[in-house]
Amino acid sequence: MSTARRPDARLREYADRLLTGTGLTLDPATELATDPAVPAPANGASAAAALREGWTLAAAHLEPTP
Amino acid sequence: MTVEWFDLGQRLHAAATGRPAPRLLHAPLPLLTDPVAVRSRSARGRLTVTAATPGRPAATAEGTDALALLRDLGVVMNAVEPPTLVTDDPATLPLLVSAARATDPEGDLTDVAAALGWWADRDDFPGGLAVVHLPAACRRAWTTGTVPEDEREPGTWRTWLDVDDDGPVGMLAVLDRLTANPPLPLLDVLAEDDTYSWGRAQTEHSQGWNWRTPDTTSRAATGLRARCDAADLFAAALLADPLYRQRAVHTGHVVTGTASAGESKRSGRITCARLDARLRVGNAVTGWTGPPGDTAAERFPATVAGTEVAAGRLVLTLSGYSGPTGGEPVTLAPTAPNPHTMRQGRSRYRRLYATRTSWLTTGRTPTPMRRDVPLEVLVAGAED
Repeated sequence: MSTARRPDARLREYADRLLTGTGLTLDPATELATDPAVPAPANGASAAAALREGWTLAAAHLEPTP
Repeated sequence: MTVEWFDLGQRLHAAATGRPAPRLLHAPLPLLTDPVAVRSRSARGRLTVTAATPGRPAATAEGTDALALLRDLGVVMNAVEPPTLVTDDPATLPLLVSAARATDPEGDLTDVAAALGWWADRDDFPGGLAVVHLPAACRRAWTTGTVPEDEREPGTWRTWLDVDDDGPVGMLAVLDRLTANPPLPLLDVLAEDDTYSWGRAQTEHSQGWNWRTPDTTSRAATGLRARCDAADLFAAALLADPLYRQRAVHTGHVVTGTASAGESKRSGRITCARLDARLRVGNAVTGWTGPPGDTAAERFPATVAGTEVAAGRLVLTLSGYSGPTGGEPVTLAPTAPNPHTMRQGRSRYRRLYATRTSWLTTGRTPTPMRRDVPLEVLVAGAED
């Protein structure tokens, strides 16, 4: 799996379910994770911080292509 | 807990890049010298086994030939090093054990049957070298850009790790990816325990012991204790990994905060960054100055002596504390158990079960006895 792609419908649905109550859905969550300048919604500060940390850590330790 | 959101961030990154996000900097498996990748199927009561070892093509055999195939691949009790079952299918080991139980205890396949029995016995020891369930090991190592339930499927891992072969050769390729980094600390201890267990099984087998015999009470009890110890060691091994620790902040197993002086000498206070710490009074912790991802050389041990919430922040009071006290950022993690102490405890437990007059075998409540103990005896006990 070496080609970038958009999250599929199941991941999208899964993400939206996890983000319920945070004021986020998948697209703004991805934007927020990738861009530190994007502000987090008022009731989604914890979710935003955790999302960013997960994304940033994954980016810092990107698995090499076999 | 915010770990689901943390994981989601990793999933979204994996989906965006098409590459799995690592969860560990280390391998979640010890060094394996003799892996045997196996997949079993049963149709109308007939067993089919497909298996391969590194450098050899996959072979398939049916019925009693299936166990003979495994014997030819080194799954025998006289193997110097214990063979490792590598599989991606939860049905494989139960099918193999059923076939092994059905063999004649005096027949040609007794050697391979006993080795399969050993695999079954060690299957629930985490992080060891007896049995590797690939999807579970992969879930420890990476997060993919799919939903979590897909990660139980071996096909998901083959896709994300670019492994084309869907048979045992492919399983060995996945194993290679899993073991590309050095193993987690403490896994060598778990591997030593497996090797010791293999040696004991070899001795028992050579003395004619039938592995099909149900466990005695003492064997079951000591086995349970050994499994608990292995689980504790594996949990500690994971916490030794910097990436794992960063995730563990989101589960509350690792705590970050700022340090200040306590009210007495050798006590400290940690004002935690989060309220969801899992540390409890009496827990032994190891701390260091810096973030959870740091592998600090200078560490301080302490014990959680008190917890309180002050001004909306969780504050831990630590005793036996020798860490910083000037507002420095610190990380606390549970102290890893001492493998030497664990082994001694298991030996003592085994002896108690083996002695017919011990309080454990007679079922008597032990009588407490108190006396003054010389300091040097206490020190010697602590060193043990």
